[in-house]
Amino acid sequence: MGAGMTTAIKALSEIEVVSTEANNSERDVVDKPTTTVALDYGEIVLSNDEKIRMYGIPGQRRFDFMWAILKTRAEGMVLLVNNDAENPIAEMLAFVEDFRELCYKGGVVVGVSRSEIAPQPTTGEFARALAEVHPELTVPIFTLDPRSKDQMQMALLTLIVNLEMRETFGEAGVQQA
Amino acid sequence: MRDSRRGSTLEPTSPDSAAQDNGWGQVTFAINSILQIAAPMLLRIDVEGHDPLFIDFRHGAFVWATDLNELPVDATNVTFETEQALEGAPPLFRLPGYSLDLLLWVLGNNAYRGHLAPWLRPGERYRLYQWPNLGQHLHEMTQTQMLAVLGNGYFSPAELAVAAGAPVEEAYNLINALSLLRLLRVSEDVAPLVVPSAPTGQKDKGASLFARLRARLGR
Repeated sequence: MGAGMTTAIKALSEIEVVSTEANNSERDVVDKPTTTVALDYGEIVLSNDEKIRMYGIPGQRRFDFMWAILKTRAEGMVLLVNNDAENPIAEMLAFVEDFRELCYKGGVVVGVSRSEIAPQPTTGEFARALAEVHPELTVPIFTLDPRSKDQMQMALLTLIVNLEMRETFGEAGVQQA
Repeated sequence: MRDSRRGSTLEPTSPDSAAQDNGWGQVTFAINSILQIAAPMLLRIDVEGHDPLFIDFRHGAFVWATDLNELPVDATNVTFETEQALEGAPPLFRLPGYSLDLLLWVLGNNAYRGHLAPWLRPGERYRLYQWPNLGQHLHEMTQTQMLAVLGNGYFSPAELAVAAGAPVEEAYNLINALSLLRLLRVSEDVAPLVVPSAPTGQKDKGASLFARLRARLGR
């Protein structure tokens, strides 16, 4: 929560983003008057009959009914973690567990936001914490600014190339290891 | 540093001196040597025409007046001064300075100009166990593609280049940088992966989604 999901979708989308917002019932977590609930939707058009559809869904557990849809339908996920939160590493680990299948097919990139305000933990600390629980996972973890189109495009491209390379080499790579 | 601390000269030697002829190889070799012993060292590097570069390995930080994005092509008349930091000694400069990772990425990618770094051995294969923080490193999409390959198996630089469709010199440069950053697993024994001629295995579908999106975004 407060990681910049709506902002990130806006940075990437070529269409006007459809956003639904409602009252923030967790002002103790993030002090802003509204927070995204339900859904943000944006698109990147590749051709007349092909587009990348991007859905922003909230991280609060009370919305986990939406995660179930994502788990079965999504090809990949950019997980935005607010580094200014109380325990961002624990938050990441909880999501990795929830989206375990997506992670193991190479479909997750972790974007650590607000690191300019909260430089700790570092991406290395995120990675080491993840390796302790899932030593076989190699997840791209970056600091990024969700407002930056350039950085969000980098995250999206990384997600896609990682998925494709996992599809190409994944099984052979596992056997090789 | 020279006045108040005991100094010594670090003179790295390398089996691949030809790859170090721009001077940055020397610098990179020296830094890697200190990283290998993981000691609480302080290092001052003087390069002709530039202010001194200071590294405090205890804090994984450096300071240098020269912009890393404008790294000079050659480093001439390079001298080193190194010493072990005493326990409890103050930082070499005002912290936080800059993350040493930034310097390692730039040096690793530029120091050996498309050759394997001298501390790496031909015949080795490499696998990424942790991604570099691309949010802080200037990089090309080809490098992202190579990173994704390396995250999924052990590859020699030549195999990596084929798998990612990149020049082998770029594969060497990236391997050098990742090695400096301590982000690689290394093996001489692992069998090679069978590398498809089309990196994404999507020959029949045309260009990969990555390639199409990259083209669409103009990157």
